[in-house]
Amino acid sequence: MRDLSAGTRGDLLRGVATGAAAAGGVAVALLGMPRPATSAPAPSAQQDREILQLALLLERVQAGFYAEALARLPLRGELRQFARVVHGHEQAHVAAIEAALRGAAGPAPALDLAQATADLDSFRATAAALEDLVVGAYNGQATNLTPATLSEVARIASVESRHAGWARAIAGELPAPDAVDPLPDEQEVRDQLDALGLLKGSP
Amino acid sequence: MTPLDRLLPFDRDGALAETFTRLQLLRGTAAVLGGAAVGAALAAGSASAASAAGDIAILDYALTLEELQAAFYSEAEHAGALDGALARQATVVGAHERAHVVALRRVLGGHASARPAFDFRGVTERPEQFRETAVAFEDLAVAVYKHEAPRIASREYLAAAIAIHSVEARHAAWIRRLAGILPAAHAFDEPLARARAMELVSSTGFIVARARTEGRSAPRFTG
Repeated sequence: MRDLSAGTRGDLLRGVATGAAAAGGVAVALLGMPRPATSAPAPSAQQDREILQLALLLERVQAGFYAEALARLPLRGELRQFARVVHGHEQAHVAAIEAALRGAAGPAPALDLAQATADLDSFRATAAALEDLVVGAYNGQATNLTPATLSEVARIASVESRHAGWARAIAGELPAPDAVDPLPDEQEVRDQLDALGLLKGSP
Repeated sequence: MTPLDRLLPFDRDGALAETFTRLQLLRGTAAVLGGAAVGAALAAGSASAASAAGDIAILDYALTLEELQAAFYSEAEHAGALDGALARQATVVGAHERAHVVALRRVLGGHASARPAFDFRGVTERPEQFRETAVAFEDLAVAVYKHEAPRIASREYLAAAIAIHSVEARHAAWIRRLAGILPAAHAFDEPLARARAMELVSSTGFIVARARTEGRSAPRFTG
């Protein structure tokens, strides 16, 4: 049964996808016309930690989302395999980032997953949008990381991209919609996360 | 067996590998010379000559792998032996790889190496082999960009490499799913150093000095 809120969610998801596609143009222009270094702050250990906090938030949201889906939804076949495999990866990412932050990880966020795991369609659509969002978060922060931290984070980032391709294929979308992925900044990522409505208290 | 080992079954011609190694040595020299020229041009700027030369070498190396992929998918599309989901993958991914080639060439300008000649030995006309090779190419590209990205000095070039890196990972997931293997097999992807990557590529014999014109003899390098 589909209700009004499910329709609204679909619109939101499409909006997120459209925004991501528009941002992709920035990277294309950048490939063709390299510009001098931007005014963004130079990478530092402190900045690495701030970026890892954002990564940890997103990994925790993902781990919670897949755990809830596995507990709650009658997942079968490839969809079940996808949820189980990806859930395991997100748990491993959470553990790795918590270890890197050495006790400065902070409390886990309160999640509101009722809508996202209400039915199989919601799960598929949310998984695809969430994975794309996380890919964008890692991509957008890459130039703000020190090379040593980037080396570690990139090992996670491409796995998220694989998840995104897989989730999109399952949802009937093109796994790779563009030749280059968008590079959203932190505010865009947080706005996209709010739009998905997975955090308690988000609009 | 790691996905990268899937390239190894195609290693059927040691002579081609040897030719390829010579080709790489010569091209490596050209890249260093090209980098030195860039360094001189930027001497008055903020970028150091060393980092500019390093970036040029990395982007030129990436260009070689993108050329390899672009040629592979273009040939598969042209051959017309694929259908359904596999044909769609080849068409969409081929367009992406060609876009990467165009972008890298635009950035490199006169420092870009000449396009190598390729000989895929009929792999692009056999769907099973096409699929297996595509899996290897895409996993290889992910591992290569992951290794090179933190070594890029320019933030602009790093941003471009990162935006491509994740697309190659999407491609990898896509073709692995079509091949019936896990799109994301591990929680962490591993980088691959250049020497090992080039060893794998040369083992295929897919890159030749020029188009094969006669028999099975090793092509001569003339460029």
